[in-house]
Amino acid sequence: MSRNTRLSRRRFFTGVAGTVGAAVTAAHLRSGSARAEGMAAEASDPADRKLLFVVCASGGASIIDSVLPVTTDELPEGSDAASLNVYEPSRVIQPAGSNIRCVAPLSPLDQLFFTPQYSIQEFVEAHHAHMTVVTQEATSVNHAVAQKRAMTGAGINRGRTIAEAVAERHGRGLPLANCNMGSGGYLEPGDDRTLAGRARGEIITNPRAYAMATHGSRGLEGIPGAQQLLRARGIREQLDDASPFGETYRNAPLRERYLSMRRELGPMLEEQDAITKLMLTPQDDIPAALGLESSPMADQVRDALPNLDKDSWQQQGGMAFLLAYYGMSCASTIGVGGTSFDGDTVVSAPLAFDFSHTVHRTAQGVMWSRVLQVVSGLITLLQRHDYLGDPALGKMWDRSLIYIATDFGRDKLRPATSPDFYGTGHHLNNGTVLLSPMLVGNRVFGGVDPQTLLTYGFDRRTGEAAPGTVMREGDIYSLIAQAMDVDFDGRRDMSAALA
Amino acid sequence: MTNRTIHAWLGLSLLSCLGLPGCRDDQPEPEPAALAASTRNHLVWKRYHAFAQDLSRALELPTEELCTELGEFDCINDVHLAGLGGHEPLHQGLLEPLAEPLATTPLVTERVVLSACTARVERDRTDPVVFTALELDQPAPAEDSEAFTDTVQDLYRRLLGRDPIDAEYTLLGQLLVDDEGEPVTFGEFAQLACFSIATTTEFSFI
Amino acid sequence: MLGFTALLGVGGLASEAEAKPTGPMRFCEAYPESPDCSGRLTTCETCHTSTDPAQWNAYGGALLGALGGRDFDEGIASAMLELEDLDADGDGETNLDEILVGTNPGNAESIWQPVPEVEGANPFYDLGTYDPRVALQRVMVLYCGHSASYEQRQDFAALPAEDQRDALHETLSMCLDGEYWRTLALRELADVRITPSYAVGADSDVNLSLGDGAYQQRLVLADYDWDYRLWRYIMTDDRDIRQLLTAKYHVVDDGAGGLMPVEGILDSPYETVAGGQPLPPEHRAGMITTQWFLMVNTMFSALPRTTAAQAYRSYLGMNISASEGILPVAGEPLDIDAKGVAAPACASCHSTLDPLAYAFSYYNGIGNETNLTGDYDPMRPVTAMPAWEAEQPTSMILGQPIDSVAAWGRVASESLYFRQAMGRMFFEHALGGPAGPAELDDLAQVVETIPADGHSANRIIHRIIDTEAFGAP
Repeated sequence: MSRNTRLSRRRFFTGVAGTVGAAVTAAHLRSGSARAEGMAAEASDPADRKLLFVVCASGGASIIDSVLPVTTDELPEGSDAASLNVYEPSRVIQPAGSNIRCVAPLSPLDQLFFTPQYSIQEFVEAHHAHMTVVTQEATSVNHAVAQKRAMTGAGINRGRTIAEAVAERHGRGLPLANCNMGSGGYLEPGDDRTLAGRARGEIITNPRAYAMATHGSRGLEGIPGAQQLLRARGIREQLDDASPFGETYRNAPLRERYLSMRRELGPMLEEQDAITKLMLTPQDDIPAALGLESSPMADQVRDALPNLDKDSWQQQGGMAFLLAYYGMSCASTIGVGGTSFDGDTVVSAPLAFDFSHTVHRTAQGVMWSRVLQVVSGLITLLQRHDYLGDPALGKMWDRSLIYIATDFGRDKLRPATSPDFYGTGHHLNNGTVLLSPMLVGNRVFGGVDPQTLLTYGFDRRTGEAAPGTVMREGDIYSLIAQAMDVDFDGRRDMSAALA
Repeated sequence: MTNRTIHAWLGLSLLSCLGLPGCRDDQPEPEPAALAASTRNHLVWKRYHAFAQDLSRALELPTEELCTELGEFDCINDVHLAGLGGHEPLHQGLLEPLAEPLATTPLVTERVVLSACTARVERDRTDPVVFTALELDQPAPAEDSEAFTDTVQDLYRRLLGRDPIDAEYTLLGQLLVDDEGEPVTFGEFAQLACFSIATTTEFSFI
Repeated sequence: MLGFTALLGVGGLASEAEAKPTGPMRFCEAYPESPDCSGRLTTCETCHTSTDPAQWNAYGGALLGALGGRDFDEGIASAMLELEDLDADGDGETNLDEILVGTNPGNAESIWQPVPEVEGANPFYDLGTYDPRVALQRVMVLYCGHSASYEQRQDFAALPAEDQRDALHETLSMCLDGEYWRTLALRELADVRITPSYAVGADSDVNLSLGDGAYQQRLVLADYDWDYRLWRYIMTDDRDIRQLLTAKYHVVDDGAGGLMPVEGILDSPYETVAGGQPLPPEHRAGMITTQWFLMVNTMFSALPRTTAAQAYRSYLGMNISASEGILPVAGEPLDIDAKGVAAPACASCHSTLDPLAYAFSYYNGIGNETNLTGDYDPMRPVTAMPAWEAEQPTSMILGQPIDSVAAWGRVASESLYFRQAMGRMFFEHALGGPAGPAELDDLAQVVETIPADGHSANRIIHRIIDTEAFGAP
């Protein structure tokens, strides 16, 4: 066909309109076909279900300032230790039984005005058996771009986030299969329009009060009784279908999806008593007149996350656990925020890990501690409790994977004039921490070049370190996907890291 | 026939065929003509601000009194903001609103509407503004009464900006009694009717 | 060719060949009327399922076969012509038809069926055509922030048909003059462009206490409210929206609920690290040179790539990180700051991004020794990048060399890309999402009228509400 006989869009529209069968309109194209699936499909088998927890260490959590440090005595001869981000041997600890080293807790001087409430050392001591450290190089030093790529594996699986992919695989029948409490690029949805509706992220902005969103009426004062409300809902459904608006738009995809959520997901959440199970607000803070109760698991959660009642970061961890424990979700994303106070003490840095621009080691120490404190609490809960409270299903930990995602690494150099207090910029080269009994634990995959402090990769199948290579976002994504039984075209074989 | 009468016929026909004795297979009913459906099917979600404003104006309540959770959280601008189509860029870094409703949006919508309708009814007990047809503690009016039709018509005009069709009167008439057929109070009817109308998709989408 | 196409296949197979960053440009040279090319550039997804490693979709695979080993830039146009009548992805539509409609010729799931004819009667809605009553309700909700009342709808419906459009536009004008649109709604449209952050903005409640605590300041690195005011000012009252990229002034509250421009260098009103506007007017370029914009995007980087990318994304509608707007410059990237961006996997984007960023190198992000965040320093590139003086990089935008950010803003603001980006922003706001194939003609017509309408945001919106996309139920 020559250019002179090209169809314009309008000609195309009028020319073929008469030959088209009914229903697929532009609106359908926009939304993707997968939404037609019923929201409350039969649940996936709990015995097969796996649980993903993405912990967003926002701002650039440096692996060589946490669990892959290099000491001054490991530098090649002739290196200038003062200009490289290396640590004195006394500042690096290898807990008994651990193959993984870590940076020692910050000294009071290094803490500046912060008060860390935990340490990397405590974490490695407690959890090294299940730690998998994987070296990696990101592909962007832009926070939002890098964050999204950390979630999507730089688009390796049709642009789906790993949480979406896991939710689609394991979330059939779960009302809130994929929950996201992150921020920035971690909060962005993936780019695949064909993703099943159930796998789309449910945004939770206030974990402490989120339970209220899971019931249409409980906790409101002066309202009619439950039976009357049920009756009203029934009338409302008929009103919706009988109205001129409802009849006219009876095929509108947006309205159909909304009705599906209202008619199927809403009742599911209410029947499951999510408003109680997910209630993180302490009983004393719930006005008695509302007739609500704290979660039956609240005390257990508080035991592992002691500052649950005041700290929104711990509330995120607690909510992620409850969502999984009660079988409402199989993928949760949580994200550490910026400045946070415990009374008058500052326990978190402004801009989270990105405060490294100002004081690198302080920011890294404070923020790694903050992140790992919640991760430790989460692991404790997962190890203690049976999935769905059913001993036959085993401990939740057996089927869980925690992915500590971060944007990118930090500069590897220090200014010779101020080797203890300095700022760092963004750097692509870094590593990732994963925790799961489904992975090879107590192991580092890849290594660090002591001359440049750049991490290098490993053979995906054998696990042998491979200097001169780097792993990418897609490798981390593939590893998680493989462990979680998520198949997709282009998934890389990361068998070496699987248990 | 007028348009309203056509839909009365349509609505009643639908209702009358809900398993009642008059609808046996050997008495074929003429198929009512359904309204033509949109083929463009493009709806726009009415998000948090307009949603709150519409409730506020319809029920003559300040927006800050529409709904509070746990005695402390603003439903619309805080705890349910994302679910109602808003976004919070400063603390959470949600720079754009979500494209579509969340799984909990229908429940959140019900909560806010129920809270607002209840607040209006409570205020009207001492200073009637919306539900003025009768005393709220009195039994609900009869379906064929002016009080009923005026109340329903007023609610539709306030909430949806139009008059109800006959089928809608008929459906809402069922809220005048409970499941046992016993009359409810006018206050209860007011709450339930307000809730039912304001949680239809017509209120949430344009 | 068919066999070769089958070998490469849908879903893509890796090959030793590479993705070509000039691909989007060549595609749009061949098909300027494609919706993906009107004031924008198609992305690598037209041919690829992945660019690193390179993998092709059905259309890309077919093109590779049709090229038959010829030089890409020289042969791609004829290769595309050869394939026009074929259906690479097997979805029943020819490649050419898909290109012109705006669906992906290499992805069978990307398909569009025209809107069917309406069947039957509906006395409540004017289906299949523009319904002013539907438009009224949408105007009220979107631009006034609440629904039309019963009385308003009755009055509107009672008007003669020929008067309803005028009434609609009067209503819109009233809404655009109202507080909701001017303060809240417009502000929300700016969030993704300004990217405010509580921690280091003017609302921050974090105090920095240095030394013995005698010296304390609030941790305010810049104040994003300048940006919101500037945005709101330019987007109202029929001002020329090109000022978003060219304005030399700033905007303050006038004390009477409105806004007014102010000139010159402005001190911070706070006892903070920063919060004013330090740039002399000659170095200003609207939204892309405010203190907040430079602080939050440039931060400490020598070559402000993030700044340039955010400006490109926000005001020209092209997200380089998603392979949009790739217009590679020959000989680039120079890798002027030795970040390794000349590596093949990086160069495909950085050959566009780095030249976009050079002009921004003269602007500080977060402070220099004098702590003047967002100020202009003619020596900054040379100081921060030792290779700068020898390489003398040329700043480029949309294929044009420029010598300053002011010129960057000027060229960008005059481009179809800018008009498309702004038109699309308002269009998507009105429709609640991206325009589908059935709506693209309406969008195109709106964009076309922008210059004749004086580049007024209000006029854009007036055009939008007249489209079938907006008003047809």
